[in-house]
Amino acid sequence: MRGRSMWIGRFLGAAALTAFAALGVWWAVDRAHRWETPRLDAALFTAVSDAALVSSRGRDTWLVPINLRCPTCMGRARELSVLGRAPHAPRLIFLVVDQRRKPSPSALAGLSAGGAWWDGRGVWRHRWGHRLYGEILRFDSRGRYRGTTPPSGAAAEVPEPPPDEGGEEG
Amino acid sequence: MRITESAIHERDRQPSSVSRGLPWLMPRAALPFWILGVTWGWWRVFREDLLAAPPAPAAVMPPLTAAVALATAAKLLGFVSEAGFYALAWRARGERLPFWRFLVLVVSASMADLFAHSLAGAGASSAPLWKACLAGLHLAPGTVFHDLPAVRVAFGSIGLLTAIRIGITGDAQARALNRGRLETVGWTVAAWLVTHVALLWGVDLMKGMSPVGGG
Repeated sequence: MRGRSMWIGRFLGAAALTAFAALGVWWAVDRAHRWETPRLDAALFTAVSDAALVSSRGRDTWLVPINLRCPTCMGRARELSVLGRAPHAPRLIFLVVDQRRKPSPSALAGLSAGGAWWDGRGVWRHRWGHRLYGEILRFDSRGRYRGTTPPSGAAAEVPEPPPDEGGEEG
Repeated sequence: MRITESAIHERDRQPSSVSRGLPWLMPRAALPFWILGVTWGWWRVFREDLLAAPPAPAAVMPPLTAAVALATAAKLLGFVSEAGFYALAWRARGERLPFWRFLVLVVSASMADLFAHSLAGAGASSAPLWKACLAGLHLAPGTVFHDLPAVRVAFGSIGLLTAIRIGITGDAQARALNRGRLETVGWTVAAWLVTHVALLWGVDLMKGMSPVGGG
Protein backbone atom coordinates (compact mmCIF):
# COMPACT_ATOMS: atom_id res chain seq x y z
CA MET A 1 0.00 0.00 0.00
CA ARG A 2 2.79 2.36 0.98
CA GLY A 3 4.76 1.44 -2.13
CA ARG A 4 1.71 2.00 -4.30
CA SER A 5 1.03 5.47 -2.96
CA MET A 6 4.73 6.26 -3.39
CA TRP A 7 4.48 5.39 -7.07
CA ILE A 8 1.25 7.38 -7.40
CA GLY A 9 3.09 10.36 -5.89
CA ARG A 10 5.99 9.89 -8.29
CA PHE A 11 3.68 9.56 -11.26
CA LEU A 12 1.76 12.73 -10.31
CA GLY A 13 5.04 14.56 -9.70
CA ALA A 14 6.35 13.56 -13.13
CA ALA A 15 3.04 14.55 -14.73
CA ALA A 16 3.13 17.95 -13.00
CA LEU A 17 6.72 18.57 -14.11
CA THR A 18 5.87 17.54 -17.68
CA ALA A 19 2.86 19.88 -17.67
CA PHE A 20 5.05 22.68 -16.30
CA ALA A 21 7.66 22.15 -19.04
CA ALA A 22 4.96 22.00 -21.74
CA LEU A 23 3.42 25.22 -20.46
CA GLY A 24 6.85 26.87 -20.54
CA VAL A 25 7.46 25.79 -24.14
CA TRP A 26 3.98 26.98 -25.15
CA TRP A 27 4.59 30.34 -23.47
CA ALA A 28 8.04 30.76 -25.12
CA VAL A 29 6.66 29.95 -28.58
CA ASP A 30 3.74 32.34 -28.04
CA ARG A 31 6.00 35.18 -26.89
CA ALA A 32 8.40 34.66 -29.81
CA HIS A 33 5.60 34.81 -32.39
CA ARG A 34 5.45 37.98 -34.50
CA TRP A 35 1.83 39.12 -34.35
CA GLU A 36 0.33 41.46 -36.94
CA THR A 37 -0.76 44.97 -35.99
CA PRO A 38 -4.56 45.19 -35.99
CA ARG A 39 -6.07 46.74 -39.15
CA LEU A 40 -9.50 48.20 -39.77
CA ASP A 41 -10.01 46.28 -42.98
CA ALA A 42 -13.53 45.17 -43.79
CA ALA A 43 -12.13 42.63 -46.26
CA LEU A 44 -10.74 40.62 -43.35
CA PHE A 45 -14.19 40.02 -41.92
CA THR A 46 -17.76 39.24 -42.95
CA ALA A 47 -20.47 41.83 -42.37
CA VAL A 48 -23.27 40.54 -40.17
CA SER A 49 -25.55 43.50 -40.71
CA ASP A 50 -25.90 46.28 -43.31
CA ALA A 51 -24.95 48.74 -40.62
CA ALA A 52 -21.37 47.58 -41.12
CA LEU A 53 -21.30 49.70 -44.24
CA VAL A 54 -21.92 52.91 -42.32
CA SER A 55 -18.93 55.17 -42.83
CA SER A 56 -17.00 56.62 -39.93
CA ARG A 57 -17.74 60.21 -41.17
CA GLY A 58 -14.45 61.49 -39.82
CA ARG A 59 -14.91 59.85 -36.45
CA ASP A 60 -12.62 57.39 -34.74
CA THR A 61 -13.69 53.77 -34.82
CA TRP A 62 -13.77 51.34 -31.94
CA LEU A 63 -13.67 47.66 -32.79
CA VAL A 64 -14.95 45.55 -29.90
CA PRO A 65 -14.46 41.77 -30.02
CA ILE A 66 -17.37 39.89 -28.49
CA ASN A 67 -18.35 36.29 -28.05
CA LEU A 68 -22.06 35.56 -28.10
CA ARG A 69 -21.62 32.78 -25.51
CA CYS A 70 -19.81 35.05 -23.02
CA PRO A 71 -22.33 36.80 -20.74
CA THR A 72 -19.71 39.11 -19.23
CA CYS A 73 -18.54 40.52 -22.54
CA MET A 74 -22.09 40.73 -23.88
CA GLY A 75 -22.95 42.76 -20.80
CA ARG A 76 -19.96 45.01 -21.56
CA ALA A 77 -21.08 45.26 -25.19
CA ARG A 78 -24.57 46.38 -24.16
CA GLU A 79 -23.02 48.93 -21.82
CA LEU A 80 -20.82 50.25 -24.64
CA SER A 81 -23.64 50.38 -27.15
CA VAL A 82 -25.64 52.59 -24.76
CA LEU A 83 -22.71 54.86 -24.01
CA GLY A 84 -21.71 54.90 -27.68
CA ARG A 85 -24.91 56.78 -28.60
CA ALA A 86 -23.39 60.01 -27.28
CA PRO A 87 -23.11 62.69 -30.02
CA HIS A 88 -19.34 62.59 -30.31
CA ALA A 89 -18.81 58.96 -29.48
CA PRO A 90 -16.63 57.02 -31.93
CA ARG A 91 -18.21 54.66 -34.45
CA LEU A 92 -18.68 51.35 -32.69
CA ILE A 93 -18.24 48.05 -34.54
CA PHE A 94 -18.75 44.74 -32.80
CA LEU A 95 -16.55 41.90 -33.99
CA VAL A 96 -18.00 38.46 -33.29
CA VAL A 97 -15.02 36.19 -32.61
CA ASP A 98 -14.41 32.52 -31.79
CA GLN A 99 -17.59 31.44 -33.53
CA ARG A 100 -17.53 28.89 -36.35
CA ARG A 101 -20.79 29.90 -38.00
CA LYS A 102 -21.79 33.35 -39.08
CA PRO A 103 -24.20 34.76 -36.49
CA SER A 104 -27.62 35.96 -37.57
CA PRO A 105 -28.33 39.70 -37.27
CA SER A 106 -30.99 38.84 -34.68
CA ALA A 107 -28.27 37.48 -32.37
CA LEU A 108 -26.97 41.03 -32.13
CA ALA A 109 -30.39 42.67 -31.95
CA GLY A 110 -29.81 43.99 -28.44
CA LEU A 111 -26.75 45.95 -29.50
CA SER A 112 -26.84 49.25 -31.31
CA ALA A 113 -23.66 49.97 -33.18
CA GLY A 114 -22.20 51.29 -36.39
CA GLY A 115 -21.93 47.73 -37.55
CA ALA A 116 -21.18 44.14 -36.73
CA TRP A 117 -18.59 41.89 -38.34
CA TRP A 118 -17.94 38.20 -38.02
CA ASP A 119 -14.32 37.07 -37.69
CA GLY A 120 -14.77 33.71 -39.39
CA ARG A 121 -11.05 33.30 -40.13
CA GLY A 122 -9.86 33.93 -36.59
CA VAL A 123 -7.88 37.04 -37.53
CA TRP A 124 -8.31 38.66 -34.11
CA ARG A 125 -6.99 35.64 -32.21
CA HIS A 126 -4.58 33.96 -34.63
CA ARG A 127 -3.09 36.88 -36.56
CA TRP A 128 -3.33 39.74 -34.11
CA GLY A 129 -2.72 37.57 -31.02
CA HIS A 130 -5.47 39.22 -28.98
CA ARG A 131 -7.48 37.13 -26.51
CA LEU A 132 -9.67 39.23 -24.22
CA TYR A 133 -13.29 39.78 -25.21
CA GLY A 134 -14.71 43.22 -24.59
CA GLU A 135 -11.47 45.11 -25.16
CA ILE A 136 -11.59 48.17 -27.44
CA LEU A 137 -9.28 48.29 -30.46
CA ARG A 138 -9.10 51.98 -31.29
CA PHE A 139 -8.60 53.34 -34.82
CA ASP A 140 -8.47 56.96 -35.87
CA SER A 141 -10.69 58.49 -38.56
CA ARG A 142 -8.22 57.29 -41.24
CA GLY A 143 -8.37 53.74 -39.95
CA ARG A 144 -4.93 53.77 -38.34
CA TYR A 145 -4.52 51.60 -35.27
CA ARG A 146 -4.14 53.77 -32.14
CA GLY A 147 -4.01 51.10 -29.45
CA THR A 148 -6.21 48.87 -27.35
CA THR A 149 -8.10 49.68 -24.18
CA PRO A 150 -8.42 46.71 -21.80
CA PRO A 151 -11.91 45.40 -21.04
CA SER A 152 -11.87 46.67 -17.46
CA GLY A 153 -11.01 50.19 -18.58
CA ALA A 154 -13.49 50.36 -21.43
CA ALA A 155 -16.38 52.16 -19.79
CA ALA A 156 -14.12 54.78 -18.22
CA GLU A 157 -13.03 56.10 -21.61
CA VAL A 158 -16.44 56.23 -23.24
CA PRO A 159 -17.96 59.72 -23.36
CA GLU A 160 -20.75 60.20 -20.84
CA PRO A 161 -24.19 59.74 -22.41
CA PRO A 162 -26.57 62.67 -22.45
CA PRO A 163 -29.08 62.52 -19.57
CA ASP A 164 -32.03 61.55 -21.80
CA GLU A 165 -30.18 58.56 -23.28
CA GLY A 166 -28.47 56.90 -20.32
CA GLY A 167 -29.67 54.20 -18.00
CA GLU A 168 -31.36 51.55 -20.09
CA GLU A 169 -29.43 48.54 -21.20
CA GLY A 170 -30.27 47.11 -24.58
CA MET B 1 -14.71 8.90 2.01
CA ARG B 2 -15.55 8.79 5.73
CA ILE B 3 -13.68 5.52 6.08
CA THR B 4 -10.59 7.04 4.47
CA GLU B 5 -10.77 10.13 6.67
CA SER B 6 -11.15 8.14 9.87
CA ALA B 7 -8.29 5.87 8.80
CA ILE B 8 -6.07 8.90 8.32
CA HIS B 9 -7.18 10.30 11.67
CA GLU B 10 -6.35 6.97 13.26
CA ARG B 11 -2.89 6.99 11.74
CA ASP B 12 -2.36 10.56 12.92
CA ARG B 13 -3.27 9.52 16.44
CA GLN B 14 -0.57 6.85 16.53
CA PRO B 15 2.54 7.99 18.42
CA SER B 16 4.85 7.27 15.50
CA SER B 17 8.10 9.12 15.06
CA VAL B 18 6.57 10.72 11.95
CA SER B 19 3.68 12.54 13.63
CA ARG B 20 5.41 13.22 16.95
CA GLY B 21 7.30 16.11 15.38
CA LEU B 22 4.17 17.85 14.17
CA PRO B 23 1.60 17.95 16.95
CA TRP B 24 -1.89 19.32 16.43
CA LEU B 25 -1.72 23.07 16.60
CA MET B 26 -4.21 23.17 19.50
CA PRO B 27 -6.58 20.84 21.36
CA ARG B 28 -8.63 19.08 18.73
CA ALA B 29 -11.91 20.21 20.26
CA ALA B 30 -10.92 23.78 19.46
CA LEU B 31 -9.91 23.06 15.85
CA PRO B 32 -13.37 23.46 14.24
CA PHE B 33 -13.74 26.88 15.85
CA TRP B 34 -10.25 27.87 14.75
CA ILE B 35 -10.85 26.74 11.14
CA LEU B 36 -14.22 28.51 11.15
CA GLY B 37 -12.54 31.67 12.41
CA VAL B 38 -9.92 31.64 9.65
CA THR B 39 -12.61 30.85 7.07
CA TRP B 40 -14.62 33.79 8.35
CA GLY B 41 -11.51 35.96 7.88
CA TRP B 42 -11.28 34.90 4.23
CA TRP B 43 -15.00 35.44 3.78
CA ARG B 44 -14.56 39.04 4.92
CA VAL B 45 -11.55 39.54 2.65
CA PHE B 46 -13.42 38.34 -0.44
CA ARG B 47 -16.47 40.40 0.49
CA GLU B 48 -14.36 43.55 0.86
CA ASP B 49 -12.56 42.83 -2.42
CA LEU B 50 -15.80 42.33 -4.33
CA LEU B 51 -17.34 45.45 -2.85
CA ALA B 52 -14.23 47.43 -3.82
CA ALA B 53 -14.12 45.99 -7.37
CA PRO B 54 -15.35 48.12 -10.30
CA PRO B 55 -19.06 47.54 -10.94
CA ALA B 56 -19.83 44.80 -13.45
CA PRO B 57 -23.06 44.64 -15.47
CA ALA B 58 -25.76 43.46 -13.08
CA ALA B 59 -26.91 40.77 -15.50
CA VAL B 60 -23.60 38.92 -15.38
CA MET B 61 -22.73 39.14 -11.68
CA PRO B 62 -23.99 36.47 -9.29
CA PRO B 63 -25.38 37.77 -5.99
CA LEU B 64 -22.62 39.06 -3.70
CA THR B 65 -23.10 36.33 -1.09
CA ALA B 66 -22.93 33.60 -3.72
CA ALA B 67 -19.76 35.07 -5.22
CA VAL B 68 -18.14 35.38 -1.79
CA ALA B 69 -19.15 31.82 -0.88
CA LEU B 70 -17.69 30.53 -4.14
CA ALA B 71 -14.41 32.38 -3.59
CA THR B 72 -14.16 31.14 0.01
CA ALA B 73 -14.88 27.55 -1.03
CA ALA B 74 -12.19 27.84 -3.70
CA LYS B 75 -9.75 29.12 -1.09
CA LEU B 76 -10.48 26.17 1.21
CA LEU B 77 -10.05 23.81 -1.72
CA GLY B 78 -6.73 25.53 -2.38
CA PHE B 79 -5.60 24.74 1.19
CA VAL B 80 -6.54 21.08 0.74
CA SER B 81 -4.69 20.99 -2.59
CA GLU B 82 -1.59 22.57 -1.07
CA ALA B 83 -1.49 20.14 1.85
CA GLY B 84 -2.24 17.26 -0.52
CA PHE B 85 0.53 18.36 -2.86
CA TYR B 86 3.17 18.31 -0.11
CA ALA B 87 1.84 15.02 1.31
CA LEU B 88 2.06 13.41 -2.13
CA ALA B 89 5.43 14.95 -2.90
CA TRP B 90 6.91 13.53 0.30
CA ARG B 91 5.16 10.22 -0.22
CA ALA B 92 6.87 10.04 -3.61
CA ARG B 93 10.17 10.23 -1.69
CA GLY B 94 9.07 7.51 0.71
CA GLU B 95 8.13 9.83 3.62
CA ARG B 96 4.74 10.30 5.26
CA LEU B 97 3.56 13.79 6.08
CA PRO B 98 0.54 13.69 8.43
CA PHE B 99 -2.02 15.25 6.08
CA TRP B 100 -4.65 16.54 8.53
CA ARG B 101 -2.18 18.12 10.95
CA PHE B 102 -0.37 19.69 8.05
CA LEU B 103 -3.64 20.92 6.55
CA VAL B 104 -4.52 22.67 9.82
CA LEU B 105 -1.10 24.29 9.74
CA VAL B 106 -1.53 25.43 6.12
CA VAL B 107 -4.91 26.97 6.98
CA SER B 108 -3.42 28.65 10.03
CA ALA B 109 -0.41 29.96 8.10
CA SER B 110 -2.84 31.71 5.76
CA MET B 111 -3.39 34.13 8.64
CA ALA B 112 -0.21 35.81 7.34
CA ASP B 113 -2.01 36.47 4.03
CA LEU B 114 -5.06 37.76 5.89
CA PHE B 115 -2.82 40.13 7.81
CA ALA B 116 -1.17 41.24 4.55
CA HIS B 117 -4.60 41.96 3.09
CA SER B 118 -5.74 44.01 6.06
CA LEU B 119 -2.45 45.95 5.95
CA ALA B 120 -2.91 46.72 2.26
CA GLY B 121 -6.59 47.55 2.52
CA ALA B 122 -9.29 46.36 0.12
CA GLY B 123 -8.83 47.49 -3.46
CA ALA B 124 -5.59 49.34 -2.68
CA SER B 125 -3.17 49.57 -5.60
CA SER B 126 -0.32 51.36 -3.87
CA ALA B 127 1.06 51.87 -0.38
CA PRO B 128 4.16 53.20 1.37
CA LEU B 129 7.31 51.15 0.81
CA TRP B 130 7.31 49.59 4.27
CA LYS B 131 3.80 48.30 3.73
CA ALA B 132 4.70 46.98 0.27
CA CYS B 133 7.70 45.15 1.73
CA LEU B 134 5.45 43.58 4.34
CA ALA B 135 2.21 42.96 2.48
CA GLY B 136 3.38 42.47 -1.12
CA LEU B 137 5.33 44.29 -3.81
CA HIS B 138 2.18 44.68 -5.93
CA LEU B 139 1.66 47.76 -3.74
CA ALA B 140 4.90 49.37 -4.98
CA PRO B 141 4.23 51.57 -8.06
CA GLY B 142 7.08 51.82 -10.53
CA THR B 143 8.14 48.21 -10.04
CA VAL B 144 7.37 45.28 -12.36
CA PHE B 145 5.37 43.74 -9.51
CA HIS B 146 2.91 46.62 -9.77
CA ASP B 147 3.09 47.70 -13.40
CA LEU B 148 3.14 44.40 -15.34
CA PRO B 149 -0.20 42.62 -14.90
CA ALA B 150 1.09 39.06 -15.34
CA VAL B 151 4.01 39.65 -12.95
CA ARG B 152 1.65 41.36 -10.51
CA VAL B 153 -0.73 38.39 -10.45
CA ALA B 154 2.06 35.83 -10.14
CA PHE B 155 4.63 37.54 -7.93
CA GLY B 156 2.90 40.61 -6.52
CA SER B 157 2.41 38.89 -3.17
CA ILE B 158 6.17 38.72 -2.55
CA GLY B 159 6.79 40.33 0.82
CA LEU B 160 7.82 39.57 4.38
CA LEU B 161 4.45 38.05 5.30
CA THR B 162 4.57 35.67 2.34
CA ALA B 163 8.11 34.73 3.32
CA ILE B 164 6.88 34.02 6.86
CA ARG B 165 4.07 31.82 5.52
CA ILE B 166 6.51 29.87 3.34
CA GLY B 167 8.86 29.57 6.31
CA ILE B 168 6.09 28.19 8.55
CA THR B 169 5.11 25.65 5.88
CA GLY B 170 8.71 24.54 5.39
CA ASP B 171 9.38 24.39 9.12
CA ALA B 172 6.32 22.19 9.69
CA GLN B 173 7.61 19.70 7.14
CA ALA B 174 11.02 19.69 8.80
CA ARG B 175 9.43 18.91 12.16
CA ALA B 176 7.03 16.30 10.81
CA LEU B 177 9.67 14.45 8.80
CA ASN B 178 12.65 15.04 11.05
CA ARG B 179 14.59 16.62 8.20
CA GLY B 180 16.75 19.71 7.99
CA ARG B 181 14.96 23.05 7.77
CA LEU B 182 17.17 24.17 4.92
CA GLU B 183 16.00 21.23 2.84
CA THR B 184 12.27 21.52 3.56
CA VAL B 185 12.16 25.31 3.29
CA GLY B 186 14.16 24.99 0.07
CA TRP B 187 11.60 22.56 -1.36
CA THR B 188 8.77 24.82 -0.27
CA VAL B 189 10.36 27.87 -1.92
CA ALA B 190 10.96 25.80 -5.06
CA ALA B 191 7.33 24.65 -5.12
CA TRP B 192 6.13 28.22 -4.60
CA LEU B 193 8.38 29.47 -7.41
CA VAL B 194 7.31 26.75 -9.85
CA THR B 195 3.59 27.29 -9.23
CA HIS B 196 3.93 31.06 -9.51
CA VAL B 197 6.03 30.89 -12.68
CA ALA B 198 3.31 28.62 -14.11
CA LEU B 199 0.76 31.23 -13.03
CA LEU B 200 2.75 33.96 -14.81
CA TRP B 201 2.89 31.91 -18.00
CA GLY B 202 -0.81 31.10 -17.73
CA VAL B 203 -1.86 34.73 -17.30
CA ASP B 204 0.41 35.78 -20.17
CA LEU B 205 -0.99 33.10 -22.46
CA MET B 206 -4.55 33.96 -21.49
CA LYS B 207 -4.20 37.61 -22.40
CA GLY B 208 -1.87 37.29 -25.41
CA MET B 209 -1.38 40.72 -27.01
CA SER B 210 -4.48 42.08 -25.26
CA PRO B 211 -3.65 44.64 -22.60
CA VAL B 212 -4.92 44.12 -19.07
CA GLY B 213 -6.12 47.00 -16.92
CA GLY B 214 -5.54 47.84 -13.30
CA GLY B 215 -1.84 48.55 -13.46
